[in-house]
Amino acid sequence: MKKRKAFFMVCMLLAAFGITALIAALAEKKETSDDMVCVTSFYPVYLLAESVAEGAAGVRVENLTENHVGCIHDYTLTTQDMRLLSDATLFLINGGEMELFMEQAAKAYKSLRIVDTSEGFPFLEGVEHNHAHEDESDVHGAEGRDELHDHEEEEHTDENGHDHAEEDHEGHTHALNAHLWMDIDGYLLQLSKAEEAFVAADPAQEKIYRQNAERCRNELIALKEEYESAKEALAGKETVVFHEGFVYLLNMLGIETVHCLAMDSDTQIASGEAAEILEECKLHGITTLFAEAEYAETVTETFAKEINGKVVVLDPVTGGTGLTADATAADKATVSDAANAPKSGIALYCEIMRKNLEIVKQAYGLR
Amino acid sequence: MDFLNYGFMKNALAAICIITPLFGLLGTMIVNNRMAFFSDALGHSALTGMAIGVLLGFAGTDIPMLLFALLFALVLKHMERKSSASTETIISVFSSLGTAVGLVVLSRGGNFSKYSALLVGDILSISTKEIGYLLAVLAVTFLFWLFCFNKLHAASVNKSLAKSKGIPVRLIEDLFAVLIAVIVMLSIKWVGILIINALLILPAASASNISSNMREYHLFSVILSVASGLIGLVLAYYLNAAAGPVIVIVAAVFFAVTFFARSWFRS
Repeated sequence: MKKRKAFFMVCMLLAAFGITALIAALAEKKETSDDMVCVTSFYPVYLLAESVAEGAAGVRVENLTENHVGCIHDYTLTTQDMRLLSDATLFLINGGEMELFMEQAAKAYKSLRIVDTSEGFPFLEGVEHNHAHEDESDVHGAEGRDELHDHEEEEHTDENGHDHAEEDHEGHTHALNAHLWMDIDGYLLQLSKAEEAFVAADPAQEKIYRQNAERCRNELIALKEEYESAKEALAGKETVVFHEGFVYLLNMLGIETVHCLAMDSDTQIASGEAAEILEECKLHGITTLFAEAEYAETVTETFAKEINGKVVVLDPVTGGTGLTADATAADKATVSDAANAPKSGIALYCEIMRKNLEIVKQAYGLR
Repeated sequence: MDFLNYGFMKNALAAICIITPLFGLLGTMIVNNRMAFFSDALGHSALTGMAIGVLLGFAGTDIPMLLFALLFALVLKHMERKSSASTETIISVFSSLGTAVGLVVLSRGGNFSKYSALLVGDILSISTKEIGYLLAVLAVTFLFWLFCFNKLHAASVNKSLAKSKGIPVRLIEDLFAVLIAVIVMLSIKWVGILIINALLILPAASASNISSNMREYHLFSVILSVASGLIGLVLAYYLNAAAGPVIVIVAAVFFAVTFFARSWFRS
């Protein structure tokens, strides 16, 4: 009996370890390249880095989160991500508290250069669900700028060896609105940060990086002009949005965001807040709401019905929703077409942002 | 074996080598004393502990989590003894309340995603210092097992009999509850609320399938626990999956195999 049991245990464990070894042997990839690896934290930063490093020899740009993840607020690192990070020379992040725990993990790698592409950007304040809300038309613009100083100081102490970045921020009820790539000026800043990072990491190919960045800059400036030309007709309009990034986009057009509700995390809307938003919509005569495709058919649709208005779908350029123009079935075909198109990097960004502009214009009956 | 080239995998491996025997040993005692739900409730109370830490503005939430868990464990034990309701009812109440309070506070401002790592856990980001803490807890658990297991076991078989033999049943039970609380809180960040209990219970349950005495029971539990941990971690690395859940799946496979092996031993 006893022998039988010991025999059984040994067999079972051998089999288990054997199967594991087999899987390991099959999965083991021989990846030995001397490429300089630049890892980006998520899609908008990836698009930037891709464009800046285009044509540079021996440089590989990899995105940590796979492209379908969307905003990375709730992302968990897998073993593959950790491997990527430990092979990388450069780690470009979006900043603005978007990648807090990723930064934690990355700090373990001493030789990895972490570059915050949004350093110095005057972030708006993020959504605050439980604020008193007396001043209804405030988009927190001025406040956001004040807050910036506090946060810069905090980040400094983090760098000086405190590894409690996450905890340090937990006491605050507000957070930064980190979606600066939706503001073309913000994206321009990220572009130059990425450019400098590449030049510093690989000075031999400085010329290529500078050229690429210059080309991208021109594209973005052209895009910005398109936005500015639409500003006049749209300025002064008011709306409610369901994605923090859209606040930046609409700001560029002079459209005021009366209320922003972040839907990109596992949020449950408090019923009190829902009522508050509806009241605001009625007060301001708002009938156009902006959301990303993922949430267009759920909560936001309910809101639209209540106020007798419509939900307009914009693309937050996070790769999460693809090149979505509209949530209708007809447009879904063009979504996949566009995804197959060879466009990448800044060109793709510009295309999505152009589409967003068209959608906003249409929503307000221009053209 | 290329996973050994990475610092994070070495740390994770070391952590697994400490956590799994710890869980294997603790699991046998938990199963013996029918406290599976108890440890589960403790895991859920981590949310409230963290919420309290956040509300009080602690720099790190580890200490409030630990203190709250100790309080939670002792109050729960006390209620269990006093109340006329059945144990699992009391535990369910505590567990749900712990979750609810935590969720209300932590999801303020739609920020729950910041804390959702607590639900699944992330063994890959464990640091050397934290491995040291785990090692200390392993030592304490081993001592407890060495000196108190027989008494605890006697109490789980028959309380009155144990008392009549001069065993301080209450003290031993409370000590054990405190030990579970400390271990659950220290490992919850790496293992995650949703699966920590599976890791505690599965190896012990598998071991009880095939063992016929206490010695076998403990030995098998520890062996199976360590084996699931190592295999799960390596598989997770190659399959690019989250480590905790893969470990649980491996442990569950062991459970299934031992379950069917039981009849083979009997024949």
